[in-house]
Amino acid sequence: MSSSESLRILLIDNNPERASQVCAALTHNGHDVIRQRPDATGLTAAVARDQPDMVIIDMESPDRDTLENMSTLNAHAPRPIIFFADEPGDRATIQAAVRAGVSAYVVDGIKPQSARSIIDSAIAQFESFQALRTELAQTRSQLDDRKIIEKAKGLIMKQEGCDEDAAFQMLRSAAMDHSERLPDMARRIITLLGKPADNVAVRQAS
Amino acid sequence: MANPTSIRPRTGFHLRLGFVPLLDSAPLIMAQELGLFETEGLQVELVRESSWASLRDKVSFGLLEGGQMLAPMPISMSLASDRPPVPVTTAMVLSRNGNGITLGNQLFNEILQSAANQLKPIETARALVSYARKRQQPVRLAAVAPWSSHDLQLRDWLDAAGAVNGQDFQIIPVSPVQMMDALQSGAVEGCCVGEPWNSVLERRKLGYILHSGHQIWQNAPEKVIGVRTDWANQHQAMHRHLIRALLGACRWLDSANNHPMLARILARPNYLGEYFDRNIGEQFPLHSDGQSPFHPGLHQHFFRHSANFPWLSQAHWLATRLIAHGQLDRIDIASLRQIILPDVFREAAGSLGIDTPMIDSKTEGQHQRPFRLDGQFGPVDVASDYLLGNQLHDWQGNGRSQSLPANEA
Repeated sequence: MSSSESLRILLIDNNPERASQVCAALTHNGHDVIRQRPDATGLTAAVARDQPDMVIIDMESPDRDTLENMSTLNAHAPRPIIFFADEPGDRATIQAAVRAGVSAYVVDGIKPQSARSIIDSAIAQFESFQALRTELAQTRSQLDDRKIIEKAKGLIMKQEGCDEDAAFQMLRSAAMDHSERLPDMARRIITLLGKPADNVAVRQAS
Repeated sequence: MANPTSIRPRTGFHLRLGFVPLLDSAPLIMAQELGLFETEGLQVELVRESSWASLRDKVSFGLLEGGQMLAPMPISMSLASDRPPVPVTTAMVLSRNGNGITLGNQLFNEILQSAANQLKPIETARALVSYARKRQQPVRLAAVAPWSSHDLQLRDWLDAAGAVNGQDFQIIPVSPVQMMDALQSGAVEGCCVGEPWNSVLERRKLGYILHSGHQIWQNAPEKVIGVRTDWANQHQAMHRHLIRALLGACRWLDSANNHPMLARILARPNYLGEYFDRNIGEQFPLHSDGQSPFHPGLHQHFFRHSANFPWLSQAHWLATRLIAHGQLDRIDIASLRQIILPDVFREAAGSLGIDTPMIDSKTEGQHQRPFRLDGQFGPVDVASDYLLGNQLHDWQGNGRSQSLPANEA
């Protein structure tokens, strides 16, 4: 995993958790990482002061255009990695970076394999962070779905004076009739029955 | 939109277009919201990008087919020499004007107290230069993105007074969300940005709009719809449908009656709402008694006077400005004709009964007032095109090019 040279990397990521992961991974590989939350002209000043070999920046950051502008104004400023996309190997790396939301800027004279290994490492951290987040969102939405179904069942039981099983059957057949997912139909039923004034029967609704 | 649980599988074409959260992303957003893409048989996914650089990268790597672009972007992406070029093409201008040169309070007062006529950009630029020379320190100005009309207009304004880069002024890159802090702390003394950022700075009392971009280049193309050339070649019919949908949106946008509705739609979280909330803790300001998101002084418009026609001569003018500021090596007619497609626009607009000029180029800077040209169906109104310092860009697309110097008052 270790790359041939130790580089000074400026890391800009407004997500502190993810920034810590990227920072730890790069430091582990022997690089010197400066973490920065830019303010005002902080970014321009930081690049001038710290003279990083590379800048790793979250693609969602509005500061990207600032970096682009710096590289047109100053020949020594780090240039966007996408500008080096002419090698087939680099192209794949850069495409993966764009997909993962990692953007990178490199100063002239850095060995391509060093830059590539740093980008790969950042991509890996961004991807694992995203996977974790997706998983969390899925779990959360599954939990929400279950709650919604329970609530809809309760409303049907009250409305129809039936037991839980019958309420669930009604909900399920309504969902099937409308080719909808169970939780989506449950949401509709809550909207319909949730309003106190509207006494619409579920059977009518379905 | 009231029914979040669409049960029918999405069918038809899928086109991913990027936009940057600015007021002039409105044509794309309204084409979506008014169902105009759908009417044209297009399933469009609008993807918000936080920077032009990200939009460019995603288009380059096929994650987007195209999107809202700064007018010089298709040229700079297609003809790049410092990186692998990505052929991008545009057949339609989405908006004209909308930039402002906003100065911080202190610098604004300096200009105000000078003898300069505030309505004349050349006089204000001279006042700025003499202020810089008096205090023997360059004036610190900010621009957001390279290859943008903001950057080029700011430079042309200063050029008009013979300002020397580095001695009379410095241009510092600052992102729009940090412009407020930058002005407040005095890190920069003025800037050229797009809307709604000038309005935000004025409302927060951090500065005043000294000039509207249209005083530098009148009715210059600001944003265009750019798509990858390979996509355009493979989907020629879709490309025309895309333009038809956007033309409908642009026509809708030019009617002031629609602006309150526009403001409500732009403020939705997935468009501009969440971005502004997260970055500056409030929404974009409204003008005209809360009825419109457009600053009345900036003359942003989307449709009238053949606003959407992609003039080759204007693209050539932009290219020469890019060359003048070291952002492009060269331009030739053959390449320009591959990037700018007036014929495609003519066809798409004509199919809607919208008339277009018959010629592809005109002498830029020659027309102080709106004028008329022959169209496909009859006479067509065309907007004025004054360039600061009475510059004339006489380029008729036959390879002959003549551009008069900028510093002629």
